[in-house]
Amino acid sequence: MQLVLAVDDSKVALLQIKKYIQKSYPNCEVITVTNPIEGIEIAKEKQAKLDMILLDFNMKEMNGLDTILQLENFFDLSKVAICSANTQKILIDKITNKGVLFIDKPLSQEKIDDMTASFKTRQIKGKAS
Amino acid sequence: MNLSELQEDLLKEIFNMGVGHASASIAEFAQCEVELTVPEVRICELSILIKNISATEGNKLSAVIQAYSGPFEGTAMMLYSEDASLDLVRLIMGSETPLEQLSEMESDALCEIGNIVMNSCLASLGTILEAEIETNLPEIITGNTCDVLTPDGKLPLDKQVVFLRMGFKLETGHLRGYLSFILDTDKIRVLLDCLQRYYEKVSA
Repeated sequence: MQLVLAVDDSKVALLQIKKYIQKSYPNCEVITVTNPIEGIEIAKEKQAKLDMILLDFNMKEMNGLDTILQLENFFDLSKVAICSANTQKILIDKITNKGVLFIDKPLSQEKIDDMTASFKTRQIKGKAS
Repeated sequence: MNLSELQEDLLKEIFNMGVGHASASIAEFAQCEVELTVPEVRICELSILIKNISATEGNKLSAVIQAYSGPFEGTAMMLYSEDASLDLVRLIMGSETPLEQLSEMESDALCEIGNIVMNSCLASLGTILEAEIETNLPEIITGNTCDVLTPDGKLPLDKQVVFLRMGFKLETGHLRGYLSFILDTDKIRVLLDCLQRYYEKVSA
């Protein structure tokens, strides 16, 4: 895990994400932005260099699902997760049907570690197939 | 009173998490997706808040109100336009229920919905902030904005309040409303201390 992009309109949530990721991956660079449109631009620029993108759901400029719909045009969604307290089953289904992971907030070290482990497994499976 | 950028961010984020969890309860009984707006925080005199809400929502409001106490206290409310309340009841009673029966059950059903949604929100806040929040029984208030926002005349109109609000709208478009908290600025200190501890925990 070397480069991660986190998009959340809360600076506190971003700080949490960065802290948890860097605790397990001290050398990982975590780019944090509060605006999803800016996040999409960064994802376009970095593309395959990004190991993972974490998105909030409820954001002013664009919600997490609409952000996914933009990202899927150029980014592998199996490396994307949505972190939200909005745990409506209908919504989670829409997200996971796109191949995106869903993590419920509040975040914890354990949840972030489980998520990174899950991404690694997905990548191994992806390469094997 | 002013909130720092960090305090406002923390308030919005924990409220967002609380309402996010509550939205799952709304979606469960409505059987459809619930769209949420981003949270808003305002600090102003209660009289100004009443004026602004009347201007945007009309002067007639219905709300399920629930006072809560514990390390911090205030009033949680689920507001909705009066004409939408039967739709809300129909959602949980089923569309085949006769109108007469719906009207009879309306206040019971609304209290129950409000109770589930607000408790879900408050329980989530309590868990995040590691605080035990006690809730009183919910009650329904219908009337002009002033009656609804000043239940039992507890807060004087010139009181400074912190007003948190998040709107919800059912995917079907039949119902919209919002969940809000009104906090007395004199009693917000303990909440701000809880938020500070939460921040220290997540940033340590």
